[in-house]
Amino acid sequence: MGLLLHSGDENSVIFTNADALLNLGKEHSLWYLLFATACCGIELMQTGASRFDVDRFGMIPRSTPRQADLLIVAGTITYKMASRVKRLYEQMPEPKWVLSMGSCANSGGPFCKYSYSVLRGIDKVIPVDVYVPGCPPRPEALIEGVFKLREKIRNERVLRKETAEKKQKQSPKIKNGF
Amino acid sequence: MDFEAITKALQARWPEITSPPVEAGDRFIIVPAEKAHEVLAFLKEGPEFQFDSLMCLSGADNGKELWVVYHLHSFKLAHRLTVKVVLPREKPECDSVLDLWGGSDFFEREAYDLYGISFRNHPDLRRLLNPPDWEGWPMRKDYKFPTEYRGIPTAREDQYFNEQVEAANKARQDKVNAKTW
Repeated sequence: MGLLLHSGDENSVIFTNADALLNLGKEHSLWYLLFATACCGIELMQTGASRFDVDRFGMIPRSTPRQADLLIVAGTITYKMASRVKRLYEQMPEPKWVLSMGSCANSGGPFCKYSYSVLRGIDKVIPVDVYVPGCPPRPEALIEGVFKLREKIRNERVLRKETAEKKQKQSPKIKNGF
Repeated sequence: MDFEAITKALQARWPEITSPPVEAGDRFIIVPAEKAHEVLAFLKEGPEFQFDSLMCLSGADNGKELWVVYHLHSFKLAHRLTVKVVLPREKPECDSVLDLWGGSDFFEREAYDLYGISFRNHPDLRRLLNPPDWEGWPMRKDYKFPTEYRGIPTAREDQYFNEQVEAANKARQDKVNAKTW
């Protein structure tokens, strides 16, 4: 699709389907929420800074969930923090995606065996699209995760019947108080 | 003043103060809980002590009883002292030193949060780190880890993970039962 842009005459017509067009926009403007709770946040900052520069993929950090498309959970989430993560996720407008960055967010990481307060993976609270392993993952790994997410977005079908896969994306059920 | 001189000066007034020998680290004095506030006030106000800084207030659990440990420092006279208060496990209560050192506010709330030590006359004794509806005192040796919090289970679905956690919990429980800390 990218190759087709700027390739024809001024009055040329490009044929595509609506899904491809919408997904083109979405995957190239993944604005992510600045949300860092531990050392993964340092790598996230590195990824956003000039050396790795995720701006070139259209990823701009937003400091409010209302403008964000992507929630990168970078760091350890405790039970106390879990309700806040869920609220941030719910404040984000659709369409939205979640990238779980690092061992802590994936499964509790170094705290998973022996801790009273750390949430064993954020997938207990919010649905996750991509898991990036590492402790913490290097910026290359995070960018690879983002590319996996873009691949997923590219294959999403917006204007058709919901697939079973999409239905699975429902939030896990949590009791009142959250 | 060095440790010996301070201890002697205190023991002249409160003979029940002890200073057990230590194998490593700083020496400390043990003060009975009901005298603790009085002794600490004396250490702060006394012209030969002038402990104007509470460097740290910590809670501790040695398996038998709970401790409150005060690390004091004097800027004026450049000496320091470690004071321990031993509290019974069943009803750990101690006087707040908030009226002496303002900085003890969060220290005492932390000790309350993690060890369940209640400080009398503290104006706002709430949990500091854990959520307000948390149950139990996490840093005590006999603390039981929760199985769920507000509907979030603490175990994961995969078998390997649960086996590992079970083994770790068992090892921990064995250690508590054998009292080998």
